[in-house]
Amino acid sequence: MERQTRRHFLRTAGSVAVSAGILGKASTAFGRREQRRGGKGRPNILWITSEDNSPYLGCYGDKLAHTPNLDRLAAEGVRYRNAFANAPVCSAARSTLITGMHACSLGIHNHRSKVQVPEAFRLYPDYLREAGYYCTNNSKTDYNIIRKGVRSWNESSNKAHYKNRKPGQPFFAIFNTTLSHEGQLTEQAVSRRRKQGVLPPKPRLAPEDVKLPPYHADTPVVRRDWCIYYDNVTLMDREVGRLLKELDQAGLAEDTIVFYYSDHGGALPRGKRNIHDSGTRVPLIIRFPKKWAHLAPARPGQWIDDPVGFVDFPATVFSLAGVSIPKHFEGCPFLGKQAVEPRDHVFLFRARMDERYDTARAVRDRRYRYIRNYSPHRPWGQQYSYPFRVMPSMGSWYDAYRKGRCNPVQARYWQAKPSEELYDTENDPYEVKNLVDDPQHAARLEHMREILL
Amino acid sequence: MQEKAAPAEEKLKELLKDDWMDIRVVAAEALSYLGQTDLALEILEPIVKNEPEYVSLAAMNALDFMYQAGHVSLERIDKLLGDTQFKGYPGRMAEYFRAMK
Repeated sequence: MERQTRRHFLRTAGSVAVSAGILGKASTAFGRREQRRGGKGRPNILWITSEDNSPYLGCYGDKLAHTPNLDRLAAEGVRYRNAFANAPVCSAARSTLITGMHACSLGIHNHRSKVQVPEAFRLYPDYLREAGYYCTNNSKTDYNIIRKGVRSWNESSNKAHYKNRKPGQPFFAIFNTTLSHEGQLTEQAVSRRRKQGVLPPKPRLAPEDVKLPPYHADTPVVRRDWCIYYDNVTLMDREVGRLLKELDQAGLAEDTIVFYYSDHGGALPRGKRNIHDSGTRVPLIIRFPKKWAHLAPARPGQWIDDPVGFVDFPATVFSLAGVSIPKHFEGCPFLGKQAVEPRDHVFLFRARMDERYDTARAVRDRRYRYIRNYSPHRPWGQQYSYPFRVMPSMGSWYDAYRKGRCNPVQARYWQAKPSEELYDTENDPYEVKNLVDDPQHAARLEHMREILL
Repeated sequence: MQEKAAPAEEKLKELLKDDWMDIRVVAAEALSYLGQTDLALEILEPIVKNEPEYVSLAAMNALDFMYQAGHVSLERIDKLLGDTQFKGYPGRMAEYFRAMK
């Protein structure tokens, strides 16, 4: 597959629009052909997904995290260092996953925009089901699209489970946990969980133990949110452990390729909704059982540095499952028989977040990120009502800013943006030093502009 | 930017008649930065009140940045919103404007 450029994916989207009418008919024959291949000898695929978390995990080097189950999964699988949600918010990230296309190619990049996408643009479980897979989603959808009367999953609810499949039928199953979602940071959520005994009476970490990113205002409330958040990540890890144990007890671990990833970065302010690493970089761990070890890109415990994005995930699942990849998918399969040359970079986009409009596009390679801000007068930290309501740190940081208690790096989140940004994520992992005006990076800037524009 | 952007004024005025409502919203906001706030409000008011959720929302976003840039007062925005009952995301924006008063 040719190297992905913006021109390439625009061209792909255009050709898909032209051939949309043909796809519907062709896919039925495609499905029958895939089904004849039978259900035996194909891996089950389990996706365990969490919400609003950057790689704040022990296995990703975070010393404050307590995530024994994910650490074990990482030791048994491979870790991706440069995995990205193409959009930094649930619905647009999930639109990209479910369609196999960048959400902005379909006009579904605005958060919760409920766009009616032509039925010819079928969702990936449609194809997997036709190929004989039992497909379940437990349970978040938030796909940002309206599809009247179309049922893509065998089951999609909080009861959906691979155990309901026919004997011998391969499955593709998603279990999504909301335990680390930003909405779990409210006083009410925390106190409810403490009463239930789910959270410890006091956070595991002391506020002074937390290492704040340099862009956050150092207030007790910001530190409080970080402590709670780390406990929520531990809860999420426990749920991952439960799901893995369930798979094991069902005797299916040796037949199942397990993915774990988060729906985007976050959850604290300047995480989710932001196009930087803090909002788009996600943990991705994939475990291959012995039976399917030949499909693994490296030995257990190793790291993969190639950039991958959500747009690549459906194509990769198809490649692992031996299902033909539809031509309109924009992703590059990175595993399996249909795998292509690794990407050089991924494309990222930010549009309306909640009730606040913005337009930003970015490209990220193994080390650098270039961002083009089309509404530079609109700050990263806009007055979104939901995060202000659920994350005490949002209000605390804004209050510190208004009172002049933020240094320039901390203040920047609330101010107009530069029209372009360039970061070296290796030397500046928090992306606070914009290199756009650095003559040493002029050639790189020009190159990345060209890729994006 | 005002002087540099001045040559764009006529083009922006043409865009106030664009078929796409979103284009009209962006042009109106830009004209406000060039001192044409009354003209911008003339365009934005009916869009805020009468158009579908996401277009109305875009116009309300424009109003907020016009306010933040000091081109329009909160009182004027409040008058513009009137007693319109907004739902969904536009409802959140209306709540935000009213809370700031």
